[in-house]
Amino acid sequence: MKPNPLQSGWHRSLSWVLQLLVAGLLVVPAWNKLTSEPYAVELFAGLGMEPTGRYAIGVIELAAVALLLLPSTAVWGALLAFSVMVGAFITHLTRIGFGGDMLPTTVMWALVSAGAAALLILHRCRLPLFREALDRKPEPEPDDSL
Amino acid sequence: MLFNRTAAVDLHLLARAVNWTLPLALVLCIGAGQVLSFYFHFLTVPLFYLNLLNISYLWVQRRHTLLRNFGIVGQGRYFLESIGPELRQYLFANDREERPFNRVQRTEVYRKSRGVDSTSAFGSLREFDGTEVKLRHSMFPTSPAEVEPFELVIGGDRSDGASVEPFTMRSPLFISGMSYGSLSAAAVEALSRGAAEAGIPMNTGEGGYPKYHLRGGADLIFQLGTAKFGVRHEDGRLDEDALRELCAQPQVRMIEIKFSQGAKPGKGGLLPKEKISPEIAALRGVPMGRDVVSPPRHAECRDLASTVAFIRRIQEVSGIVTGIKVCLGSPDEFDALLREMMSQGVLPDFITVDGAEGGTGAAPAAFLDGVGLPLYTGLVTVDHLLRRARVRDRIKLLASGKLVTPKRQVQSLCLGADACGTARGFMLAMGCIQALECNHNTCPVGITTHDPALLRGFFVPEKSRRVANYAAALNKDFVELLAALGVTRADQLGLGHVYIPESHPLAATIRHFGGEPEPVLLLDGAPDR
Repeated sequence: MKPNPLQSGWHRSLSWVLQLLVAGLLVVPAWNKLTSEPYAVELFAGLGMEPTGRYAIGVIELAAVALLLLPSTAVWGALLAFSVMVGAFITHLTRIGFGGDMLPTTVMWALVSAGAAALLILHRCRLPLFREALDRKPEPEPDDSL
Repeated sequence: MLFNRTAAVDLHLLARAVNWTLPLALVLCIGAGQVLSFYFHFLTVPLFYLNLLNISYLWVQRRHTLLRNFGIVGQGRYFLESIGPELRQYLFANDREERPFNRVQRTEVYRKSRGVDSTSAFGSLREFDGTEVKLRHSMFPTSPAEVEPFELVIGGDRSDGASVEPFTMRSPLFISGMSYGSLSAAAVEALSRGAAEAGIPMNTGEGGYPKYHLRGGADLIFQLGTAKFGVRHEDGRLDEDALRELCAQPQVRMIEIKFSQGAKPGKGGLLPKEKISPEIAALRGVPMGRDVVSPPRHAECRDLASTVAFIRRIQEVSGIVTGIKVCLGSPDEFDALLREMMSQGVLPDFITVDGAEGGTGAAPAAFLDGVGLPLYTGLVTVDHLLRRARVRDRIKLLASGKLVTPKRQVQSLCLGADACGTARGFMLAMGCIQALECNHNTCPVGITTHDPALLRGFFVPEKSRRVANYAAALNKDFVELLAALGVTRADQLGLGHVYIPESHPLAATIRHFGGEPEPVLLLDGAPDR
């Protein structure tokens, strides 16, 4: 079992707040995509990804939500959420823009990205290949699952 | 090795190519996502991560030269290195080259523990021109039916006139010391049940007040470690009342005062903090979250006189058979201890000689590999010193140290032991795969871990049966070997029954003590012991 990287109580609390925030924000668009809300259908039609791409992204978002709600997999949920947000960024940048009608979506995007990024930083020593990229090795806390 | 320019693949070039390809592929993917199909962005995201990672390897981190020079391809080395032990064990290592136990030895234990045929065919895999000790069979073997049942009485009348109720071993075998803490509760319970079924005693190790060791009903040898877990005051001194209460339990038959241990002679026991649960902390009386390191010696034993006085005190307080365990360092020191014992009129009822090759739990590599005498040399030395002091008949000798196969067990009996024990042999019998993770709480087969996820597969009734099977198979081989050597009782075994090549270090030791490494023909039994 991997050692728990969270060093102190407030780290752990912060992690929980972020996990719930990101999961809570992400479940709405996931649901809208999977239930074929008109605006989602319109968006993905514009991207030429209707309906396969819409369902695929919806499923990925939902998986991220599920992973975020379990402490042992939260980091993978955050990674998945951040990945979707990278894709969303490309979409905003090249197709739909940031302002105007898209402003609420942009705010949502910014919140989820920031939350997921913060989670990735908090749990950075759990990211397998990234561990070696850290100059200082974070002290793992003894496993508390005993 | 990985970045070898003479290799068929120029790995330097490969690394450089990958470092250029990654950003190029990212750009191409973004372009394809815009022009061809938005689906290409499913590739853009992973490529984005890979580039991020590669950049941090090449320009951010400074810890790993390889990653800074070659980027993500350098991870290949760390990856291959990390799975090296598994690859070697499964694919590349010879049947006879692994340490501590090679595949042939492990297979023999596994087969014995499963109760299946453990014979092999078409000759030995060993190097016969080598330097190994061998057993000498007789031209006139006895039959296994003629071999008398094994009986070893430990304790009884002592040299100071007192007497203690003796403990009788009915098999030359015991389970050597493994604590609850180093082993999981389930493993300890399986050992205890198996030992009870096989009728052999088990040593508790220095793990505090026995709990799971008591579960199976086996006879117990309580090990009193230097930290005196289970019977200590806060300051580490002996709690006499606790010891008295412990020894009143009918299952606790003998006490073994541990002076040194083969895995780390000259150093106290060690339990890594990953393996300390609240229950273990309570049984030992130690805090959690820190490595538990026993002191290198008993607080009461400052010199020879106080050490012998301490042995006497334990004998008196416990009221049961009491012995000591040593891994031999200096023979002179041991001889001096023996003289002090005789001048005070106190002798331990038994001495366990642990070989430096021993060791189950956590120990620093320098101690595992480089300190203490190996079992055979230590055993022969202790046996000789006891004979010279004319107390050999009063002190029984137990041996431990990598005695997992009948060959080494019977050899140890020939070299002076009265009984022999193994710890790792029984771990193998319970399904140990020699993953060498005992000190990390990550044992993949639930033997040396307290992680519930890893304990799930450890089914106690099955494992206890294997423990019993292994012991039974060893006892059977023991009888057959005795018959082949032409004797009917274990106490007839002696130096005359082992062939010790001149190049083996033992030959010099025995000659030094005036023994005969190349004994003459012995038609009517072994030399007197």
